[in-house]
Amino acid sequence: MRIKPSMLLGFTLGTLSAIGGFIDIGDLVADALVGARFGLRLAWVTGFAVIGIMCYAEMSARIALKTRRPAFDLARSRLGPGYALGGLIGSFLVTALLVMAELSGIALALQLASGVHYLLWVPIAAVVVFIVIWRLPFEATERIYGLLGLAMLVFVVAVWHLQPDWSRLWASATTVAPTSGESWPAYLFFAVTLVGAQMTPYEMFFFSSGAVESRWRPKDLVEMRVNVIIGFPLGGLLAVAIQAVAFLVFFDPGIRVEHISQTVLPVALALGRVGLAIALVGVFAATFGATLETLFATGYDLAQYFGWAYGEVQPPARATRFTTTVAALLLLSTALALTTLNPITVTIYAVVFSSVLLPFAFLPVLLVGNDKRVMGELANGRLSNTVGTITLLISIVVSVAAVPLLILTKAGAS
Amino acid sequence: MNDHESLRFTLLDQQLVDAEDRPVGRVDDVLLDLPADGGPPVVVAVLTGAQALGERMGGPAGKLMAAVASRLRSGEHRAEPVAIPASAIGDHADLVQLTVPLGDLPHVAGLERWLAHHLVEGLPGAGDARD
Repeated sequence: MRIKPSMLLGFTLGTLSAIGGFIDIGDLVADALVGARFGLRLAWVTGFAVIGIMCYAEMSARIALKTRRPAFDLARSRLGPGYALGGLIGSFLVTALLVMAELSGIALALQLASGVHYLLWVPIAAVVVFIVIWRLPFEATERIYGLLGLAMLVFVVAVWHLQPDWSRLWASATTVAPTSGESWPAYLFFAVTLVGAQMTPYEMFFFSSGAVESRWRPKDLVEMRVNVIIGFPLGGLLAVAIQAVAFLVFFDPGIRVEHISQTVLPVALALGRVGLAIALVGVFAATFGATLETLFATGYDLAQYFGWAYGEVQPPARATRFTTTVAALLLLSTALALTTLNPITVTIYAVVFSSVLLPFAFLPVLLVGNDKRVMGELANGRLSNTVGTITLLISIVVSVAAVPLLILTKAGAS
Repeated sequence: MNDHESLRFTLLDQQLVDAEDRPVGRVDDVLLDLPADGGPPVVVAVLTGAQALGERMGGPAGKLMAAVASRLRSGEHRAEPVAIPASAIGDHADLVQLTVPLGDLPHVAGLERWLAHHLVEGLPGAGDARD
């Protein structure tokens, strides 16, 4: 097989956006929190999340290749307007909270780099995001933040530089039980949090809408799959690396992670100022990319439900309801961020509620992917159906358990 | 249109695009006519817009949606949901394709046009809604 340069470009693009979608403010917060309290004892959850999101991202993108319709679009024609409206309202609220958290994440990265308080950076970050949405070609933007996001690999380097006791890391990673002094409900609550942070439905909506907008066709199947197979595991690797460095630095002294500066502190300890700078670039890129992705995913949800014109590739005047929704949401999130609401707390709540919604987002994708009448020879094979069904069943358990665990553990405080 | 088909699968809730492939909305409801000779119902028009959808769904959420959508419309046709006559409906395999451009359907996607006219087009770099 000959590899064309355009293919290579498309491949890096998708892979990078897959990493960007996986690592966002939810991960930066949840992984560090979990690493400090439970070491690598929840790393298996990340493993499960990677497999689950790979399966559903691949399925929804395959549906998009075949039908030229993104995932949320099909939820309504398949399951009716009532079901889809429930999903729309739920995912709209959760994703809107995430936009606020991601925007704060950009501002916090800028605060760590500059020393200027993050609340002063929030409006500036919002203006830059708006200009990017309004004017910049999206593919170029995606490539820039995707490439910068590779700076996150500094977390993997930091694991080596901290000279860990590898057998201890391995023992921690292979234990499924809370660490001493921690309760089972807290352990399970953070398992739910990780699922919510790592298997976010917006990744799926964004990936499949992106496939439609990039005009991928069935012949692009291999390219799409390569993106999924490289992008999401790389995201998972970064997540585990963040957990590992937090474990190595914070676990023994018993320090709790309460601020995003603590996520990058282990990198500073391991690699000094240069390492810190690279990590901050990574955090900035990841949260910036995720701000765009969450904003667009929310706009897509609404536009696809009502059948509006939408698109990041169109000039704003060709999709005015979509553009207005996205701009209004950005304004609202900026206002919410400026209320000084703690972005870490908002993130935790957003990812927990996101995990509640997971099965509602997965079900229509699985139904359509499995429908031979719609999908023809691109219908789910045995692998997709098995993994998809298991993931759906587990997500139902997670969805039911999430809110009781949230209340029982006071959001992980005890 | 064929004489016999399942509206639930081929028409209702499907995406509507105009003659130039621009997304117009969804088929939010269908207006049927029962012929006097007792034949099968015939589609007279498709209704589109959140007002039609809200009225079809009913319940508190549906009523609220219909009321908001109705308030967002202008002109004297506000009370009736937006209808597209069956004569303008072409092919409907995956999408429901209209045989006319959006410009020929003055009441469809009114909010989209209003926003283009009053808000978005005035800003620099928005592009042109007409191309």
